[in-house]
Amino acid sequence: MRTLYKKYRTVALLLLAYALPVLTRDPYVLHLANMACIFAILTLSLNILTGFTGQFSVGHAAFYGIGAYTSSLLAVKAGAPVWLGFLAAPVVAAIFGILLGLPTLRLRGFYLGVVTLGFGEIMYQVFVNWISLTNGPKGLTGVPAPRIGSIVLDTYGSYYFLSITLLVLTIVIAYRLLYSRVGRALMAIRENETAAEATGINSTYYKVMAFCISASLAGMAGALYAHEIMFVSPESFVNAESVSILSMMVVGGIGSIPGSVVGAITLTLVPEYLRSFGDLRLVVYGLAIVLMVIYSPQGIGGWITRVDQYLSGTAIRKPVRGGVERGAA
Amino acid sequence: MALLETKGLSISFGGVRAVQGVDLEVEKGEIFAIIGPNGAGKTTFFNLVTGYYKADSGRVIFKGDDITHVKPYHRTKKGIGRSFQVLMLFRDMTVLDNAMVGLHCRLKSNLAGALLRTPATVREEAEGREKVRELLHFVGLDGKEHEMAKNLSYGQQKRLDIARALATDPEILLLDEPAAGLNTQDLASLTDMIQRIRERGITVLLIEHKMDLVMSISDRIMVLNFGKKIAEGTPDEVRQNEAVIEAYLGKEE
Repeated sequence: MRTLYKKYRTVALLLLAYALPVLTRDPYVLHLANMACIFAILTLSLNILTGFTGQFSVGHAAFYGIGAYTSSLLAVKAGAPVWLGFLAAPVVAAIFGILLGLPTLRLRGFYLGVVTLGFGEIMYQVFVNWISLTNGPKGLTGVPAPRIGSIVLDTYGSYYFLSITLLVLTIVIAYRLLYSRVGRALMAIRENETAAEATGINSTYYKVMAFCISASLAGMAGALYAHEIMFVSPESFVNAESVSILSMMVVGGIGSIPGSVVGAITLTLVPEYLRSFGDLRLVVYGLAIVLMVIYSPQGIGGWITRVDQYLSGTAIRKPVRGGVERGAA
Repeated sequence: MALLETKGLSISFGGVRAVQGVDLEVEKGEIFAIIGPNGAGKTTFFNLVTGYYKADSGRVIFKGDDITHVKPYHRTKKGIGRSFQVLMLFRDMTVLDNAMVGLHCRLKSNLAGALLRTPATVREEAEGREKVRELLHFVGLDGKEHEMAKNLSYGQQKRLDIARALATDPEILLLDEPAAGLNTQDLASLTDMIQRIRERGITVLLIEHKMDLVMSISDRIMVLNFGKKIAEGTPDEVRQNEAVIEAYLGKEE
């Protein structure tokens, strides 16, 4: 039973994930599934920066927006193929990541948080006010759906295959990064920057790299979002969106990869199912997060790890990666 | 040529002249100790040698190269390893990963290699793990690989600190009060370990307060007081030095 579980858990999860459009044809559910994938990518991208490297960011929606606008503008204004936008979005977002990472190298904790918050606000103002380029608050319409050969991914169901594939790609990137020389360097910086430097790690280089990787994945999520909704407006990239991503990371588990995914799915779905609470919805949502942080600081990721250990009978306690200073989170 | 040399090394913090014009020459293969009363500037001196502090004046020369303006992580790569007085382990990482971080500057795999998981990267990781396991065995941490660093006992954490420093493959290892807080048994194995480190061909520069340890294993000793070198020589010479006795015991009336 245990060997069976260990061998097939990944395959089973993948099958289940890819089978969703077969299991349901409800466009509303499938749209939510797309949004869950997008937010899972965003949460993972934030976790690489905050959970792995210990660098606080409260402005992640900015990179998300940069990605969304990059690919939308390329398609709408320049008539470029959609896939080019999907490639350009992470690249442009990564450049902004480096631009933000370099001057903030000496900042950490709350100070870095405030700067990233400011960056998020600046980008939002750019999206709103650079009307000649972004069309301002009215947004950009007519963002085309991507196509593979003759198949146009213009339904939520078909688009979902793209979303889930990019999410799987992001998960693979996160795992491979974490269990590598680079990932160890990032975690060492999170744990103790002085000791990391004394142990031969160029912390400047790796901190900027973390910003770059994180921003580029968020940018990719932006492109994924733009072509799903087929419309972008600044309202999707307000600071509250950054806070949502942050909440997903905290609820999921700081530094936990499965936690990021489950946290994003949960906080994408919960507000939808809380609609019956009417205006109380956001209060319930907020309360759930507060309770989670108090009673399960390791997040859903901590539970997943424990269940996984139980099912696979792992004797060795797998490291639960505790993130940044708990007080700051 | 000395392996490590400092010439007139000085630094002040505000009005406090923490290290003043210290000249030092450590030869390859030595166990060299730095002693002195609390606040004498020993750890500050270490921080100057490893590059954590920038010297106001003076020079640090390693293997004949002036490294005064070289960044800390580059000094590690050149062959200067260190352990810390106040433990600075990566607490939420496993013992194995802590030591693997030490190997960082000796491994080559980059981001692309990690993401594509190239055969070269996989091989390098496997070899690295072997090397680190040998070091964990060397410091006596067998079987603790997957433990979180924070869950180790104090004595074990001190050993891990040394294993991590050894993983950087240093030519000179700076140990900052390795015996502080150790019980008698751990102390004996530490003394033995420092000698075995030298047998691996690594020069040891040691800050220590435990006099019996210092006197029994050091080839030479430098004594600092108020940031200045007041004596240098073999353990016997230092023991009989007037200035040293005065610094430690006060002046006879």
